[in-house]
Amino acid sequence: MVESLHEANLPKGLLNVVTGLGNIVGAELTRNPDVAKISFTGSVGVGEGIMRDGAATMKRVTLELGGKSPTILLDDAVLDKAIPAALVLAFMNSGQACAAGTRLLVPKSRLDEVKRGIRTAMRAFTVGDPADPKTAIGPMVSQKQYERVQSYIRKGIEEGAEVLAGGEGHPEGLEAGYFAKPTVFANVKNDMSIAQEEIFGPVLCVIAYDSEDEAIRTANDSKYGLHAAVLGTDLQRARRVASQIRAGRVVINGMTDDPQAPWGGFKYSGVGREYGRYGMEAFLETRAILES
Amino acid sequence: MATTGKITERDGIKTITTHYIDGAFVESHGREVIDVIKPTNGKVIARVTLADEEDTRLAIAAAKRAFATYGRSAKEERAKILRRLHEAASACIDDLTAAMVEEYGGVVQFARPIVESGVNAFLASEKALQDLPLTRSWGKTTVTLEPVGVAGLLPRGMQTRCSFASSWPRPSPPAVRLSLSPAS
Repeated sequence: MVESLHEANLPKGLLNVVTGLGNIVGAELTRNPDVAKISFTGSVGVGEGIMRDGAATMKRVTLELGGKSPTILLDDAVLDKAIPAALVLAFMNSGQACAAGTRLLVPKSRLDEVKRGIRTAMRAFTVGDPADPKTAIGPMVSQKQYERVQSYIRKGIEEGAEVLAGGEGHPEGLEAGYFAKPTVFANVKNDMSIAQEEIFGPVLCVIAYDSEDEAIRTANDSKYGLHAAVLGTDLQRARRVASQIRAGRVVINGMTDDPQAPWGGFKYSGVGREYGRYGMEAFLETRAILES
Repeated sequence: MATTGKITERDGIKTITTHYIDGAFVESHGREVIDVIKPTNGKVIARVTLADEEDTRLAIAAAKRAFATYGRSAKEERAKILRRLHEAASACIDDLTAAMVEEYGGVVQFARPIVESGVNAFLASEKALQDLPLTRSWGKTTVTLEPVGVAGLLPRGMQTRCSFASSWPRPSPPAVRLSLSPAS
C-alpha cells in the first residue's frame, strides 16, 4: 500500500509509515509532545490506554473501538430477504468486524419460522478458501483468535444457549488453518457473556423479544454503540425504531454505506467520528480573530 | 507495481525491513522481527522488521517539518493531493485485495469492496473538504478552521496478528499487560 501511495509524489514527510507494536510505536506516538492528535482503531483496552496516556500531552483523540451490534428484525419483515441480510451483517469479514451485527433480535411470534429460515440460509454461508469468490467466511486471522472464538462457543453452550448451526472445532476438511464453524446460537439471553462481549468471530446470538419497546431496550442494553440494523417492511416504523437506537450508525433493511456519513460509536465504541465532514472536523482546531 | 519498498522474496517468504519516512523507504532502526502467518495453512509467508521508538521519532520529526509549510497550504492544493492519492491507489486495487486475502484470510467478496471503498475515501475526502467552509465571519469577528498538527493514525492490526493491538503498558501494577486479540 505504501509503495502505491509513494507514487502520488507527496510533499516529503506528509505521509510516514512505521510498522511496529502498540506498546512501542503506539506508545511513542501517544507520549510524544510533537504529535497533536491520535486516531486509533482497535480494542477498548488499548483505546483506554491511549486516552489515559495521551492526557499528559493533551492529545486530541479519535477512537474507533469495538461493537456488539444489534439487528432488530421487526414482525412485519419479509424473512426471505431479512434473514440473509441479517447473516451478511453478522458474518462480514468472517465476523472479524467491529460493526458485525452479532445480536439478532427476533419477535417471539415469529421465532420458530426465523430459526428454520436461518438453518436453511446458513447453507449459503460457506467456509473455505478466501480467494474463492463463492466463499462467504474465511479463516480467523490467527491461532489465538481461533482459540478465542472456540472459548466463546464453549461458553455459549455452558451458559445454556442452543446451538442452531455450527459449534466447536474446525469445519470438516479445513483442519489445517484457523477456520472456525460459523455458529448461530438461539435461546440467548442478553445478559449472557456471548451477547455482551465482542467475540470478533463468526458467532451470532438470536435473542427473542415480546414488544417493539423491549427490542429497543435490549438493543441498547450493551456497553457498545457502534452500529445497528433494523429490518422491516413498514419504513416509517423502521425509521422510528432506528431513531431510538444509541449507536453511531443504524442501517435500514441491509448493510449499506455512504462515504460522507460519519462512522464511530456511542459509549464504549469510541470517541469522535471518521469520514466526510465530521471526520475532517476531527483534525481541525477553531481559531477566532476579533478586531476591536 | 513499484518496487521502491525493497520487498525481497526468497523461498516463498517475503521480507520487509524498511519504514516510509520523509518520502523514502529507510532501513529499520528497530531489530525485532515478526512472522506473518498465512491463516489458511499456518505457514510463514513473510517476515517484517518492526520499528522502535527511534524510527517513530524520526517519522514524527519528518511530519513536523512537513507541517511547517503544508499546514499553511490552501484547500485547492490539498484537493490535488487527494486526487493524486486516489489515482495512485486505484492502480493497486488488485494487489491490495490479494494482500488482504493472503495475509489475514479476508474473503475476496468482502476484501475487494472494502479496498475499493478505501481507495474511494480519497475522493470522498476531497468532496468533504470542498463542501466544508473553513472561514466564517460576522461583525468584526472571523473564525477559521486550522489543521490540528501532526497526527498519529493507528490502524487496526489485522494483517500481522499483533501489530498495534498487541499490548499496551499500564501504569500500575506494572506487571499487568493487556493481552488483546486483533479486536475491532
